Amino acid sequence: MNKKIECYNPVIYMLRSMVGLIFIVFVSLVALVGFSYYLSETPDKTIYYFFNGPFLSLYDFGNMINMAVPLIIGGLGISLAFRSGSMNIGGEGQLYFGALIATLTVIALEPLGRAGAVIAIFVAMMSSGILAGISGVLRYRWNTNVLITSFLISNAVVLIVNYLITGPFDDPLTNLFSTQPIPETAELSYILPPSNLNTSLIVAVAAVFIIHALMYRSRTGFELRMYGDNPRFAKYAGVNVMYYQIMPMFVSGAMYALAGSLSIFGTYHATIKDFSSGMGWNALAVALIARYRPFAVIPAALFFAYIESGARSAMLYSDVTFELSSIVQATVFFLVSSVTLQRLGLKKRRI
Amino acid sequence: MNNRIYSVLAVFFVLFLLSPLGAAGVKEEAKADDSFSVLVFVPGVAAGSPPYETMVAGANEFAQDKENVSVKVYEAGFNQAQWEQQLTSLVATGEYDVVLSTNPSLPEICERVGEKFPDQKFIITDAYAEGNDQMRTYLYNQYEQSLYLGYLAGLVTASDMEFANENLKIGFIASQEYPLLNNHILPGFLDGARLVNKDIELDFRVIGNWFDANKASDLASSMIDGGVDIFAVIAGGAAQGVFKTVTQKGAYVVFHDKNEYSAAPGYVVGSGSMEQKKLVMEILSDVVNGTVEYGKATVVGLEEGYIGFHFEDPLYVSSLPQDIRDEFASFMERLRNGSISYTLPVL
Repeated sequence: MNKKIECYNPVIYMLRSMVGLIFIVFVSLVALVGFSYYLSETPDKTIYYFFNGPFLSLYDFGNMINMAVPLIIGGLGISLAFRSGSMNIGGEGQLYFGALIATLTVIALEPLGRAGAVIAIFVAMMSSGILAGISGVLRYRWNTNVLITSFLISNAVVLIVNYLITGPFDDPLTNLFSTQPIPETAELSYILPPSNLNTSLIVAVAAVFIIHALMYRSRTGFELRMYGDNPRFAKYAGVNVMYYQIMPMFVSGAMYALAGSLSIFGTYHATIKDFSSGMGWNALAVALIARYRPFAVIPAALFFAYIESGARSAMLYSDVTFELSSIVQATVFFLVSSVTLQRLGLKKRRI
Repeated sequence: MNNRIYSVLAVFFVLFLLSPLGAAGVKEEAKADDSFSVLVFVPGVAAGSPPYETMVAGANEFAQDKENVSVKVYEAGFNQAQWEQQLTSLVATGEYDVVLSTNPSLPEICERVGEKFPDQKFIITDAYAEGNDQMRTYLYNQYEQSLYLGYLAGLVTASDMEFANENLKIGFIASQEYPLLNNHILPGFLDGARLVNKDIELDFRVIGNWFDANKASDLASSMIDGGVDIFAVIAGGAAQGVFKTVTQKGAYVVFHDKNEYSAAPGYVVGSGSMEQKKLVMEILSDVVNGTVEYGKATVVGLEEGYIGFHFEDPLYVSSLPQDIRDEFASFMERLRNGSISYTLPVL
């Protein structure tokens, strides 16, 4: 009884909750430095360009921010799904499928100009939303594991999309495995030329506010979080179980499609085979690092983009391969999945 | 105990923070006035790909005895979607006087990169694009190579060799469809075969990637069941599946660009050649001398000595009867001296 009772201070709690993340990032970057000395003949050059490369020019900086955009949008969708207990890990397929649907729709609606692009994004979001929603429906009807079904469906969809790109929708006028290019009217404007940074950044930032409002400023968000924390309690409290098993899956699928569509409209201008390879998984890692908080998704996505961008710079100027960034990303992914590490700074908290 | 762990972590943390600072002293060496920097952009991985390996070998050999010429080889990997951004990043460094690459898809990528960096020059082999002042392209006459390989395939399918049947059906397995394949390689192959017998038909199939040997094997197997007795294959690593199937089920292969007789001895009955290394060294010499005509596209073929056929391999001699080899040699001679003429299709 003589123990001092600590008052709950949200600022201190936030700082403590970051200790684990800082440790994870630190270990990952130590791994990077270690591997640089092991793999590179010019390790100091490799390390210099890895850390400073993304800031050496506006081009590199713009590309880094652009890389973060789909991770922010995808990470938001995943945050919402995971917060409600829906473990959607089918992002790879949902993003790729959404991108293809958006591309084909905008080409078909070319006469409508920019309106066609908006409709295409909407159609893509609906399509991937339904694709992800299937796992939610299966869970509701037959209590299947969303983790497994979303992953399996995604894997199959990636193969189907690959077939469609290299087969029926292959552009015979290009030497790449690619669909036809989207109409120029559908292309997003560049913000920082010659980098690829484009106006999709505005959509990503807006999405952060919208998802935050949905999760923390609405009754739906409150019920969703309640369902995620304790489904049984939520059920007895009168929460609509079907809704919170399907809706978060649908929204996360739709957000992945938005990420894919904007990548096409802003950066690639056609669905090129495997353009999104790894984006779905990285968005998942971003959501894990952010611990499903919409505003934390931005720095988490920037961190991932920084690693990728830095590795690219190191590869350009030094003698290492791109696998260096994969090692760092894999280390982050591996460590961030540990709840113990994530709660490192919270262990001693007494209430 | 905890304090000790934190101390160790703190030491690591300080060392970690210092490492980039220490590296901050890294500075690029100043470029000499007469120095010349070449970026060899490999759209894939050099190992295992004859055109890429020979391009890299040609560039390195050229730079070997020239102190003022430096070569940076960059392998962009198999993800085509990443090629443009990687090339843009490389060009954005401003370090390279010229970008050298090879692949029919590169002109469209270089054109987009060139719009952002109007001073950058590109030289691309195995591709055709004219009218762009930043780009010089050299296209191997793949119609011509396919014409003579098709002629050889026609001779084999119409022969009484062990695995030849009376269906007059030849096969072509490709990784993907692209303009050079559709407009030059496939028509050339069929045209060549029909110079032997105008009733010969072509069965063409697409794998959908450059690595799936199992799918290539399945396709070859189904085509053999459908009456094909000789194949051409342009499929990167997936071609191994075709070699395996022809060996097991009994059929023949003619191969573009590279000596592949040993891949399936007795079954690979013809191998074309592409003199990429020679062309790359000549191009780099022109680049250094400042005699490159940017904006121009040239088609190089049999007459210029940039494509050919591996006649000298003992496996070629042992896999085909004398009469077919004589007939084929005569055809090649007539093609080389111009007594057989053809119209190169529009790409």
